[in-house]
Amino acid sequence: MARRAHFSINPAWVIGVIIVIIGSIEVGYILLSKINNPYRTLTPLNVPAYLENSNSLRGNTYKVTGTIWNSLAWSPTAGRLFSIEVETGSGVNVLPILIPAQFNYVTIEKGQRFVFQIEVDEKGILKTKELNKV
Amino acid sequence: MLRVGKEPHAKNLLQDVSLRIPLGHHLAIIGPAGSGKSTLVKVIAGVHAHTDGTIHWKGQDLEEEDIAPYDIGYVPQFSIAYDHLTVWESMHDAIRLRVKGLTDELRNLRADSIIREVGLLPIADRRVRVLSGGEKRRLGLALELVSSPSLLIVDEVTSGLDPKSEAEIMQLMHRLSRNCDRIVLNIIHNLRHIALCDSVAVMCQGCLVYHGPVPQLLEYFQVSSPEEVFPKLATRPSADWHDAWLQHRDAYDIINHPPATAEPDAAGPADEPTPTDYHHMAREVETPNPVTQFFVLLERRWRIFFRDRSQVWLHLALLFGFPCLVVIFALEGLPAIQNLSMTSDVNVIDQLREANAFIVQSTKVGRLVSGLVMIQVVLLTLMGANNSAREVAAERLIFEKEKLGGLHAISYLASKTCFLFVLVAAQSIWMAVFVNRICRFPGDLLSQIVLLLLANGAMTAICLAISSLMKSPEQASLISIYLVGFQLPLSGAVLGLPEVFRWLTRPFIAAYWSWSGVLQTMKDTRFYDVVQLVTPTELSPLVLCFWALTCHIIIGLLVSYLGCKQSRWE
Repeated sequence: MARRAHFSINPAWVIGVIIVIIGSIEVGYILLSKINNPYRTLTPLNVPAYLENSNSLRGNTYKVTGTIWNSLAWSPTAGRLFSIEVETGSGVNVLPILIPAQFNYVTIEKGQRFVFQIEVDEKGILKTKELNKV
Repeated sequence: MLRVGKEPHAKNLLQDVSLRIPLGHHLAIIGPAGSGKSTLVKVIAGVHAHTDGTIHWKGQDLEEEDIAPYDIGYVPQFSIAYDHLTVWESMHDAIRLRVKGLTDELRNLRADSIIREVGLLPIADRRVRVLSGGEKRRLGLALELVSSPSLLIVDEVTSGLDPKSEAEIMQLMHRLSRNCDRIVLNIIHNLRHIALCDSVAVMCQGCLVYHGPVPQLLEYFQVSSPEEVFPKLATRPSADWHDAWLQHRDAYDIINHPPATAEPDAAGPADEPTPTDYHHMAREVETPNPVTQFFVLLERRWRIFFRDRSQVWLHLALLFGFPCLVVIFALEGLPAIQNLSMTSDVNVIDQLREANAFIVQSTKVGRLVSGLVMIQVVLLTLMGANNSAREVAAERLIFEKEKLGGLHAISYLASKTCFLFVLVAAQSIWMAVFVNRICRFPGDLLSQIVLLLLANGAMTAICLAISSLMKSPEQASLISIYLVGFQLPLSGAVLGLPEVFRWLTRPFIAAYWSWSGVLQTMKDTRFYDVVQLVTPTELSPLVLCFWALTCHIIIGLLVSYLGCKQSRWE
């Protein structure tokens, strides 16, 4: 056992501790990234399939990320209808999306990006169940 | 043996030094400059590790079980007291850190007795920084006497003293060696009072060339006075002297032939100081527990902080000046943003004009908001570096000395952490509240305070770690400032970093996490959108920002602990 006054740290320990700590941070980072994403379990909306035949997706819940483009309609009871730009593998598509009146407190402006949890309702309209700014 | 350097060019600093010292003995260690005297006592104290051989204390190999902290006193050549404390305060703190279970009355009695003994009573209320070199050495000796150690190692404590003081200190050493079977190892240069020592060890180029009674010293070296020993040593190579000593050492063995020592009266013209009253000093002392030491250190740190006026003014200037630097960019508050029209019933020219105006406006506002947040964060990281970069490195030798005397590294680090936390909290809260009030920042103020506090805390903790690992305060300050300098460019707030580089550096850049987190608190506002439009770097979720900054603090404190545990005497 070394004398008290000349205690020295093996550099290998320090490197080991740093690797363990950084590893823990990375694992925590990845876990937190996953847990923090409320829509991680949702399937992204297949935009071409929706545009081709929206009825085929009725009743399903998806996530879609898009940029607010235009306000199409507004009703105090039904909510707000917007067009959003969605990037897909084949380019940019524009989709209509209904944001119900329960989200009237959310200020929505042109150019804002949101992640929407949407349900394709019985008429094939994309109805927002939840939304979060990106 | 003590070897330094890398083989095959390693050099022996000490070679074949063999000493046996009885209890209750006053040993003088002499030799020319660079002969290995200080190295020898540092090896005995455990400050330097020897590469070969053993050191035994009362039959116990010190490599197996070290001498108890209270039982060893080592007075180095450097000052071991804080400049801003008085002599009396230094003594009190030393007693509270090294001796457990004394009442205030006993502490006062002990401090008074020792200060009187070393002749510092008339200047007990004087600050250490105004003491002369000789007075500081006396104080160093006094600080080591608080636990009444059985082994007292003194490195040139009489250097620089006037003849009267030197005689007093040598007599004190003699008396101490007669008390409680104490061994006093005393490095001296002036041989005038050598008769007060029981034996003398002569070192020459790392070798022991004599160890025996003082009267036989003259006979062995065939000189007429002790002062002639050094010139005599220069007449032959040290190896010759050492070989000669190996042949004759049995005849001078002080264990088998105990030397007769001169009485203090015969030593010189010095007046007898007040008799030592050690009756109230229990021999078996215990070192206080880490919690007690923590409170003593914390209280001492605050006392030193408030005594150092320049430090107080600097902290106040940073505390109140830096937030002003932020708000001058937005004294009128943040400008409102005119949104794009959400309908397509205007013509294309108007749409383009509107879009162009929006881009110009959002770029301006986005940069302003992002910049204001980043300035806050960078200034706080700068304060963090200023808080802690010198905290350990500037007092490293005193800390090492106190560790040798039984100070727990965890108590030391905890006291530093608490002290720094108060500074960090004051700086961060004031910055967040002041800027929020003046610039009318949107978002949750509490979250913003916590994020700024974490950024400042992260940089403070990392710089504390740097301070605990570096050899000098200048080195620690320089690296800390570089670290702050990297924060802005590597945060990606101004210029986007390449993808790979971004993932490599981002985890280590506290400014990014705090900047990103503060902006996230504005997520429900248009300011967040316009910042996103102009910033080349994506923002991380709030919870990740908290996580990353907390990790920085934990890593900083862990590395600080390792740095504090490690010995760094040089």
